[in-house]
Amino acid sequence: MSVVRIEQATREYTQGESKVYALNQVDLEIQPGEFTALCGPSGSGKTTLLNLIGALDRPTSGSVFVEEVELSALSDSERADFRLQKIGFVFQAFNLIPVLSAVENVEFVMQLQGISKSERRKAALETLAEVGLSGMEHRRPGQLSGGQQQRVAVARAIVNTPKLVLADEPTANLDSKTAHALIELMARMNSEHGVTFIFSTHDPLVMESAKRLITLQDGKIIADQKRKS
Amino acid sequence: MMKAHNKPQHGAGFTNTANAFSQIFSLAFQLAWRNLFRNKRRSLVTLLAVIVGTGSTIALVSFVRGISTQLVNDSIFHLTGHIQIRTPGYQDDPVVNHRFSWPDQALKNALENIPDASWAPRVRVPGVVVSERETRPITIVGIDPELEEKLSIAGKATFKGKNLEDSSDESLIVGDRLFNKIKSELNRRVVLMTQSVDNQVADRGFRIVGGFRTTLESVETGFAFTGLATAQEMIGIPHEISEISIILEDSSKLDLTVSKLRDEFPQLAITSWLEAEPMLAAITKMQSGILYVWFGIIVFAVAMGLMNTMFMAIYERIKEIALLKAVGTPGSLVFIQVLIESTLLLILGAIFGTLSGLIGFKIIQPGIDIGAYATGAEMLGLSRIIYPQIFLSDLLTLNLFLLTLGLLGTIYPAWYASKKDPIKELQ
Repeated sequence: MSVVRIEQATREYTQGESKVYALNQVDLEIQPGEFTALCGPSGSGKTTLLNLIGALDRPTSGSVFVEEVELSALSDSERADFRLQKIGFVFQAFNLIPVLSAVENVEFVMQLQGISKSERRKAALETLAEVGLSGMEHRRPGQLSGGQQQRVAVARAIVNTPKLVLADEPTANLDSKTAHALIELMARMNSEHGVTFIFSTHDPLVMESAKRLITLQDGKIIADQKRKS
Repeated sequence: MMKAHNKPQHGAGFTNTANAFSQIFSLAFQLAWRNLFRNKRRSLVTLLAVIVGTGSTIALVSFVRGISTQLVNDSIFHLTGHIQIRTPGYQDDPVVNHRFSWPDQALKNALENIPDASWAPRVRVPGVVVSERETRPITIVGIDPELEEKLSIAGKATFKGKNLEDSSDESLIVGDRLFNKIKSELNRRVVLMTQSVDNQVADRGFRIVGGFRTTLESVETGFAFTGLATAQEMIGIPHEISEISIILEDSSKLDLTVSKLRDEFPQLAITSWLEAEPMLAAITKMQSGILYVWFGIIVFAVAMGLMNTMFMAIYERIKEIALLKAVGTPGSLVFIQVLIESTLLLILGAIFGTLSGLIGFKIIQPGIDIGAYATGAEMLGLSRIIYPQIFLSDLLTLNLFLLTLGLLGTIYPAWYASKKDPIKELQ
């Protein structure tokens, strides 16, 4: 069973009197445990595709299934609950809640899920240690570097073992060394825990790390390459 | 990282757990509390606005309540009392024809059974005072000085001379201003004239032994007090009186006491001060109404300020709110978080505002001298010193207004934040 199945998904926007196709009749399947990069120029549809898979947006036509649940059929509150239970997110920026410490940020999603305090604290500390942030658990985001903040975001995204982690240009604001380290971390989480990752990027070095590279242009998939790890 | 088997199933999390509300609340409270300290200056300015609004309103209310209480007390303790017992018709035509028997044992028993009450019988008829130089219309009041002690200023020589001694005292006490009007002095003799019970002119000479001063000019110029038995003898009604005045220790029992007396003595006209002094009752009621309107205006301004502050805070954190929603935070948590944030500001503001208001009240409690406005105050029947008063009901009403309107003012920004589309704000 595929984790993600997209059938003829189109997302169009209206700009004045003309229609713009951010995604145009896209078909795609992602299998469990894949480590997939979406690449392509700005405006090619990477973020739109991630938003549709992440139940943040609805296609104008076509269908998006995650774990065989058709996301368009869900109400707003059901989609919020679906995101909470099934998907981990890493964004390009504004990833963390500034008034919470690193460990509290990682705990946040579990807290929303109603997991007990002791259980979530233990899991959060273990995950922060896994992403190399031992000793920084009680620092607020403002006391962490950009790379460290993204590591906390990855920790938050994977701490409750979601089926799928979506990362929208997670390395865009990082220097190349930090970016590479972050992608290595994501790749390790993918291989060690079998979490499916889909991330968008412009960075050729990051693309190199992907096991599958999907290229988009003008809202269409123009290439889909699987690589050997 | 959590083991997979520990992970809750889809839909088994927040929305379905039994303690969902308490979890939402504690998470929202944690975020709201910390957000308060995020922009300390803004939180402090908002808090100050609430404190100043509440504190100054309390101080102003205590001043207005002081005026109101003084007006009422001046009236009640200047003969009116809380309750008056008369014959029907006396209020419209207060002459000797409207009188009733005294002592009446049933009535006396009823009066003695009213808990914590003071009462006194009086003869009260219109008449004239004649000095060697002037003649003036006045009200002649016969009193029992002993019973009047706790009841009114009647019979007390507060300015000069001596008090009336007992019911058979044949002296006279008049107001300081009446001395001037009739151009008389202490220890001079004057003649009081009135209509006797048999429609003849009743007159008698009295020596003025005392003078009183009061805030009410009409009382100081228009009343002369002598012993009850003396007045009864002069008018020819040795076993009758014009009225009984009652003062209650606990004025909240006014309506109950009046209705009980009315049931027992339907032949008598029993009125409360609210009925006897309708103008004063209307003024007091109007003052309360104006105060509540004032509460509303002040609190509305505070609520608008708070709404503006919350919008500023939301705009500042819009991407953070979008992030919360993107990871699956229910809109209700965002809504509650904003409400808690403003509630915390309101509660802190209400507490410190009330405390500052009470401190202000303590400072002005010894009295505010309004001597600069003495003429106007005299016209209103006020003394030059106003003693502010504070009522628990005013404090509770003000704080209830504050919390209710403040929260109503925050509902819109909270709703606005909870409905934010994460995609639009994160891009």
